[in-house]
Amino acid sequence: MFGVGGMGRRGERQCILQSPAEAGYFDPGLRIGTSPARLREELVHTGHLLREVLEPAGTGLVKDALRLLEHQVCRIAVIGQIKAGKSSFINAFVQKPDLLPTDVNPWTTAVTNLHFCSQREPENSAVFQFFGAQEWEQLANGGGKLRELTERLVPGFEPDLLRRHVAALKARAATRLGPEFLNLLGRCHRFATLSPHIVRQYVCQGDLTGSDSANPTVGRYSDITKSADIYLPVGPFDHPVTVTDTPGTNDPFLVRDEITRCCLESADLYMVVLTARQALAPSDVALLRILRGLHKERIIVFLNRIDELADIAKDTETVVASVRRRLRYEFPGADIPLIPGSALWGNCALAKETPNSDHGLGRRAVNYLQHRGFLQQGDVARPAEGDENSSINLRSALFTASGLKPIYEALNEFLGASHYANVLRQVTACFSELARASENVARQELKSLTQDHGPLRNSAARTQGELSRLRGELQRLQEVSSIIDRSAALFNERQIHIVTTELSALRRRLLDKVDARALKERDALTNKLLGGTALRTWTFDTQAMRRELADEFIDGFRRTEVQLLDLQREVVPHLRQLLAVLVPNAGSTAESEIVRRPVPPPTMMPLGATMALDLDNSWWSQLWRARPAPLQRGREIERLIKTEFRQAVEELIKACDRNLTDHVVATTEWSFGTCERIARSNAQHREQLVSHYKSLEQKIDGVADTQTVSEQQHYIAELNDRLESCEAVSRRLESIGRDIGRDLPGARA
Amino acid sequence: MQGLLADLSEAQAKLRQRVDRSPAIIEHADALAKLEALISVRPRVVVLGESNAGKTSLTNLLLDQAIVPDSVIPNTRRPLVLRYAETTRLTGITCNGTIDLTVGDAGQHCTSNLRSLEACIPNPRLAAFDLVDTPGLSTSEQLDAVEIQATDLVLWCTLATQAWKETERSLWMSIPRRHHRDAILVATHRDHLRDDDDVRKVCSRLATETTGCFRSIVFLCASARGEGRTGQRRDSGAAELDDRIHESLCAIAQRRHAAGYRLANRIVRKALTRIERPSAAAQVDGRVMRRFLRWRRGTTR
Repeated sequence: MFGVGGMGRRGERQCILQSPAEAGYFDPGLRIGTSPARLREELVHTGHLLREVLEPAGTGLVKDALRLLEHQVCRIAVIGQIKAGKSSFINAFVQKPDLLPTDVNPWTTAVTNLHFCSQREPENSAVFQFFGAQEWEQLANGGGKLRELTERLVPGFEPDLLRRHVAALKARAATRLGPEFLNLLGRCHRFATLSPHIVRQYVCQGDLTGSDSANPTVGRYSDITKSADIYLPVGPFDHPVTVTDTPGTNDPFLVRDEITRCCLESADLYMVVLTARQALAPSDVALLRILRGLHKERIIVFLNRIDELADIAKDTETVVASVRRRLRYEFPGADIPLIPGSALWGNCALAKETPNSDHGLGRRAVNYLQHRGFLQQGDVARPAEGDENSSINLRSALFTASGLKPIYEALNEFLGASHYANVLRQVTACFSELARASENVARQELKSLTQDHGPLRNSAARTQGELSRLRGELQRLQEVSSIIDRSAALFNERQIHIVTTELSALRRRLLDKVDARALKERDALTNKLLGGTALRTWTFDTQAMRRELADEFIDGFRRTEVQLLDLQREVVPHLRQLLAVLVPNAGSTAESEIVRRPVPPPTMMPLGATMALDLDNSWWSQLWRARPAPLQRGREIERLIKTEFRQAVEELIKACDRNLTDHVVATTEWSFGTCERIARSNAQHREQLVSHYKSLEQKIDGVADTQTVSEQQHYIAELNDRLESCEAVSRRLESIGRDIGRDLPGARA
Repeated sequence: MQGLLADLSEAQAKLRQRVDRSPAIIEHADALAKLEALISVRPRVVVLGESNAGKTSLTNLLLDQAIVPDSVIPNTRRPLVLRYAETTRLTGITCNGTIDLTVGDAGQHCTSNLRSLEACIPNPRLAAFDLVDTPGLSTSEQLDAVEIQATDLVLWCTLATQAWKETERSLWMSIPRRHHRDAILVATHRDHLRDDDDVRKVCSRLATETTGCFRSIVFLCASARGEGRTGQRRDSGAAELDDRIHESLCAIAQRRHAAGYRLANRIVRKALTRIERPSAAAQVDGRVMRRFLRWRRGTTR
């Protein structure tokens, strides 16, 4: 199946990497991110124009802004339980039906990142990163922290399950790669061109039982592959997008669970894939709860596998209603998009083979399509070979029923409302200010020069006058600069103060909660034991504790957020004043464009980490037998709870702190940076004029010679040009601003 | 089993004949009677699994009669015990006692304080065992409501397409170990697996991941429901399930049989000692009594 030379790697490569639209047999005609991409391009183009007309001091800021724009990527993480259909969903979503390998058993082992429209790497290349020696060791030992804790509490005990998994992992890696596999750790493999054969070697599990029909190269490197980065051409995306496929949660093979958790920290949008038949099982709910609160505007829920329901139309409605009810209960006040569909249908619609009754169009599916009106009664389910129209009909019917269109729409909406829109807005505002400042300067200079141009002769007094005026202005600008610096420093300090006080108070509160709960458990347990009940084993409800901590954390975070935003609001009139001084003709437009930066939500992943308290009942009963006295047991439990949760709390606060500090610094930069640049460029410009006038002083007596005059005229012409360009740039920026307002609605100001 | 029961009644008869000579051995005869009663209790089969795994459909399939309502969203609220009886009867069990729910006023009783339901129906398949359908299991505390201690055979339902997740594994581990010996893993909705190759792959994965947890694994398609045609039952995997259940029940019966004989022998030996030495203190050996009560509850082998 995978060509060993032969038929053509090229043929296969075209197979998986070409979408049906490119291959010409079916084009759903939907694209994602067109508006933001277009606006971004225009902004970048305008930025380049701006750089040419700007003073050198301002270009630094423009360059930073351009770099920020170029690096904008929307990161989508697809998460869900094992076998929910994440890989199939991604295949259908990116319209490449055979890209990611799928199988009836849990198949994905590594985190796979699909990069679209990436500017940095060539298309169709891939990089596979292996675990480092230490990481693999930790992972192979079931999570270093976990093992350490286990050994500390029950010395000499090794959970049976973990040991079996470890042994299996090592044996498999050794069989597949030979005994030198340890040398491969820490490396990465790069491929300049991609083929399906290659992808399958790294990211999928392969046949574990070693039966003879298995392909030995499938999954060769999968045990040691940490992550895979695949760079693909455009696909249905106009905007740079990275889609991340994860191994599922709730995997009895505990090692993979840990991998999934670690990669989820940095996504912008989460697509949660549920199975229609067991929608919102307790572990789905647990997953959603980890994302709750801070991320609720970044979740899209896809209800997959509706093709498996007995009576598709009726059952889909029932399940959707029940899931929606539950979502409303778990996420009060948020309107999370819930989209039912089937990745199987999507893939069938997009596959090379025409859909037929063996291949996606079973009797139930056809009934459903007819019921919904996607397919007419007379349409044939098994079209003849050359019947193009029927084939297209079937494909579009399947594609419509697969639910991918609403997904694309939801994603477009998300892009419009997310912080991309904010970034675009901010950059537009910044550019406008710079352009206007430059315009002003040019205008002023022009004015003074044209005045100056005439009476050059009796300019001794005039020159003196000009010089003293310029010196005065320079002085003022210096004052303004120092005001700006002071204000920026003060602003920074106040923000940091808010962050530090609030976070330390929050940390204190969370730790107090943990201690209180641990104490309660200890007392409850000791009392029960002393009361004479013989307990075989005992467990602690970690989910309840996690929920409590999560709620408290969200509360505290919101408080911090509100304070930071209030501070920003306070600073705005101050900024306005400064701008009014620096850019006198700015007028009312500058006011409306001062944009407040929203605070990015921190991650809650540390609360989702596997703890020793979550382990097997067998582990607990072993722990139990080792400690006979009730008081000692009570103390043990208390210590266990405290250790585990304290660590989680500390990690949580640390991550939040890092997040907020970065945000604070960036906010200061953006708020005051523009003013500072403008001030500096104005100052530079004044100094230039001073030297110009000084040189003029030398030649003051006598008539202006023709050279100076022509120089002057030349300069004036240049200035006129510059003024025009600035005005043009300003106009463009205004129209971009209007487009943003129109096409990317719903963004928070 | 019949042999054991016959022997027990014979032993009892013989003991009772000698009562007039040694009145103390009446206690031993009573002990034998109790043993007989315990042994002839029908084995209890419980269907467990997470929500929407297909437990209720499986129950209907085992009964060969679509009697329990099922739905695509979680539907069963409380355990339902199904027994054999000549006349149909439905009883609700609350914390305080039982309520007879005849068809007419079923709706009038407050259903929220019902802990479980018991239905007696004249279904021939219930002659071999009692069947219990349960609501979806999400925490191990719910096992008490199901009376897991009094169960003989556990069937665990899992979806064939998303089989054996970590939450299921940890729930399974909180069930007492002695049930693992005879339990059966039922993978439902086999019709969603595309072909036999897929079934084989899933089967081998399940076998690897559940070593030691189950006696056998069966793949089932429960939608071929209750028409009783043998051909259809064979295709749907129900025939294989019947075989496996029969196998497990036989193993359980065998063990009961052996334990029954052991205990009966002990009781009779004690009785003989009493007869031969009538002056010995007239007390049924407390230890023997306790031992067989514990045995019935199943914590000894």
